[in-house]
Amino acid sequence: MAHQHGGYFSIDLYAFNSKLKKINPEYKLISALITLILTIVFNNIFVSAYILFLMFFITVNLGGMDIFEYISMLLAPLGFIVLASISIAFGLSFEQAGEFYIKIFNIYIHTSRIQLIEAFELMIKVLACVSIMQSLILSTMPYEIINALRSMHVPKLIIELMNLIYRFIFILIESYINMRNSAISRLGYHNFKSSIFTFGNMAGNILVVSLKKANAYYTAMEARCFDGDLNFLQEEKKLKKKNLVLTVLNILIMFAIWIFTLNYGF
Amino acid sequence: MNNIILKAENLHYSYTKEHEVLKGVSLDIYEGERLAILGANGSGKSTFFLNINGVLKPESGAVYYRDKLINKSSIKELRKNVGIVFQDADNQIIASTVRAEVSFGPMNLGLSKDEVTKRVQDSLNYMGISHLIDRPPHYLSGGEKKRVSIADIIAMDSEIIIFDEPTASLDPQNISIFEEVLGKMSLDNRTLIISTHDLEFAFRWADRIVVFCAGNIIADSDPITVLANQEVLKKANLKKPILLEVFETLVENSVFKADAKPARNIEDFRKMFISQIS
Repeated sequence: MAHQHGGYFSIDLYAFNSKLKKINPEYKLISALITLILTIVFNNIFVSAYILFLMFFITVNLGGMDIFEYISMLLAPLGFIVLASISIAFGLSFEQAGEFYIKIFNIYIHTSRIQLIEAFELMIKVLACVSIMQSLILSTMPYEIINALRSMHVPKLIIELMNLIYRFIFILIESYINMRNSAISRLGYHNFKSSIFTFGNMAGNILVVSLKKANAYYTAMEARCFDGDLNFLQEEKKLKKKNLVLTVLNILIMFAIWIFTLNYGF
Repeated sequence: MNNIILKAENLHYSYTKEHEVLKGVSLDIYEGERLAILGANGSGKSTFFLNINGVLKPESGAVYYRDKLINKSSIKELRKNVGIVFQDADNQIIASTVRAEVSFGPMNLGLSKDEVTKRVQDSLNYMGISHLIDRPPHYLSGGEKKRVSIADIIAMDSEIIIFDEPTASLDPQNISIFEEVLGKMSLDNRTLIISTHDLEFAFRWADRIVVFCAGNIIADSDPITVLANQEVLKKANLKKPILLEVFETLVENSVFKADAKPARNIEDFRKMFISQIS
């Protein structure tokens, strides 16, 4: 799966190494959102399939990500999607129903052609939507997304929380790894009972550590003239005309696919 | 002697009612001096730093910056001019890139964007880490993090820079890089205050040494006077620097004259020793 760095998995390393890092983050966020909304609104399997391939192309060919890593990244949500689709594809009933069914004791598990197609279409659509969000996060550092949201006038409180949470994730993971290593070195996991005991203690300790760290942070921020507003300098990335044209072209292609396949269905 | 830049007068501070951490600390800090602060863990050094930076408000006593009494309205002025590099860089770094992190202080000072950009560039250059500008802090090594946390304060252009146990978690190479930076800052006539447990370092670097013990200052003088004082060393649980110990042994054995001035670093000592025996 993801790269291992300092003992933990970190998805944002992909964004850090992506060739698409230099592109204006506001542009990336907005075009991802437009594409996402259109994919949902069109609700068309051909559009969804096109998006799925487009995102693959963007992340792997343009972004330079390893193809196997990309696929394994996409497989992670696939499990949930399949589970959710099963409940749409199959129904339960005490009487005979549907085109196909299996009888187990007195319960019929049934489905129909239409139901199966519907579930399949939904699966592709959800996968396409997930891949849009993934190609955004795999090419844009989280803080850039946060900053792009700020310039889109998302409330300041949310923005600052996002900033601090993002930074704190790494601090807590590091504390956790240190604690876990020291627990392992003292045989904290040698049997089931001790594992549970250790886990509980560690969870409690992480809470205390996070409170202490939050306090230390606040002190350090105050020492640097913090007066209630978290302001950072961000690198400016110019928006290129070429990118805008490509987004418009993409939207047109989506419309075209939608119109041409309007009357075509299973 | 230079002008007094910061003056702390009879500071009292306690976190809880039962235990007073500062029991009337008075200290004059002179412009451009190199001040080392020694003392055991829990002797009140860090609390003192937070008091003279304005993060903590003393229960009684006063802080003067350039002869001006610090009150509520001038506290930002104090925080701007007194910068603290905290012991644990991880407790100081709050932003998600080095650029954003170093810009945090200058942004809070309300400077223009161009000025902030320039200061970030300059302070990263100063610390020799311009190549890390886009890096997220969680992918930096310990030494790099420390340098970022120092650049944080340089970007604010503070006149007084306080280092709270800066060498505690650094390897020898990073310590020598750090000492180079200190030398550079002294040339820029910045006032440097360092709390440390490294007596050898304090002995060779400082102009003046102050010893904290249980919330009081028990010694305040030049390094040789302080570290040759058995009583102070015993009270604060400090150990005499080896160089000074060797020097005293040589005086006792009449290799050096009794009124000779101790050498504070190994180069001086070598010169002195070689000229004596040859």
